[in-house]
Amino acid sequence: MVKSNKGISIIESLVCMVIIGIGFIAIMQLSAFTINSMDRATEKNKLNYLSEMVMEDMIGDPDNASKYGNFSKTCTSGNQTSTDLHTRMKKKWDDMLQEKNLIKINNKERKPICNTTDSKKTIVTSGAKNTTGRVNFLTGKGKRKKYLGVVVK
Amino acid sequence: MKNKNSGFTLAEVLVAIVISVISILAAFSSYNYFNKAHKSISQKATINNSARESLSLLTKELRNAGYIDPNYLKYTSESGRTERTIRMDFLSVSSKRFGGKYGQSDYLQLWFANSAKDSQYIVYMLQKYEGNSKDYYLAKYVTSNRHGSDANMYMRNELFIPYVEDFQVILKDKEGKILVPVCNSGCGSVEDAQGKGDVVSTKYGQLTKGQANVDLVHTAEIYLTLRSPQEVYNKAKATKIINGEAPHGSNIDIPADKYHRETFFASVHTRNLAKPIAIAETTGESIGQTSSYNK
Repeated sequence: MVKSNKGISIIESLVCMVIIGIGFIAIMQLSAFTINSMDRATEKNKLNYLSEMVMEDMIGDPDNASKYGNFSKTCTSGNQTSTDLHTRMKKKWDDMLQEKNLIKINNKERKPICNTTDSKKTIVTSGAKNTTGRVNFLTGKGKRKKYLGVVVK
Repeated sequence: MKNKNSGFTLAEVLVAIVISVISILAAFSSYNYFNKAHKSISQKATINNSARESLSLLTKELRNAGYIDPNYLKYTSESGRTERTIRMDFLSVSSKRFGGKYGQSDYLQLWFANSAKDSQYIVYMLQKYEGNSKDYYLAKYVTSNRHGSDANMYMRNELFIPYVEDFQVILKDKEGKILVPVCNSGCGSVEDAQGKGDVVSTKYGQLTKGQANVDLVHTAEIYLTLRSPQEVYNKAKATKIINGEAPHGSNIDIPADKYHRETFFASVHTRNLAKPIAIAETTGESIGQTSSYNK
């Protein structure tokens, strides 16, 4: 009787390791994805309050509400200079949406991620009976949408 | 009978050891990676939750600040109290330099009567943890029915937002200019420097500048900088925080450390303070003529 105790070959064990390694890499990517998701959640949280800021500024100046429309911010816009209240408010929105000067890490300003397809806009519609204001914030390459609207007066 | 029990060769054993070591190292580094990732996520989640919880409350209460229920003066137990004395004694909103970890944080005070018999006197301030900790948390104290009899009055600590680095409340008028001082007695150094005690004429009579400015508050801007409870980064990084502008904002340099920090911003229109009637009275025009307090 010949008793065979061959076990596994080195090739088999290496293939096994490669398969396990691929599994590990997949789990690591999942972990990196969750970290990114957390950062996105923080940005969304900030954006919620910023959209409310825009609405509150419109509500605070109801007679000039129409002047608060046509705000359009991309990654590069900004630097409005005027003494008008609505223009200064738009500058405030612009600064806050890019977190201008809020936090510097190692003397470098930290800014939210912005893609060329992202945009932040306001739309004011004046009707016979009321004036409505809306914000359309698109982030994440335009995929994440934040809409908010109120009757200003 | 032939029995084959030849065992492993030295080369096979060495290869097996190398493979095992690689596997163990991979498992160990993966554990480290996942551990750090979990820590980073949980720390950022804590910051996010804290910000959402505190700002949602703060914005809601700032919108209510200064509201006096039409029946409040009629039904409260303190007869003889008028809107003027309420405005004078209990400021509808007040923000002053108070302290905190870096000595530049604010103390926010609010007052409103939300029904005929109930009023809320609310204070937000940074307080130091007990013991040897150098860190601060945001505390909220609520005193209900401060104008009522003692039996109805009670105070409670309602909110606890951990590890707050800076808390700024910048109050602005309808032109978007910073209002300082907006406080009564016990103002901070910033307010003292801006003439808090100067006497000015208002529709309520002679008031200090700090009291008179309350009715001019049109917008309240809140900056809240939170820190992760535990270290997140591998390398220490220096942080600079700039919340709001002079003369009331903060400008803080934090030495290099491994913590993660986030600043959240909210802006609220204090609709119960800068009311149309205030302008109508000061300009002599009827409310119909002015139609808006922003003209």
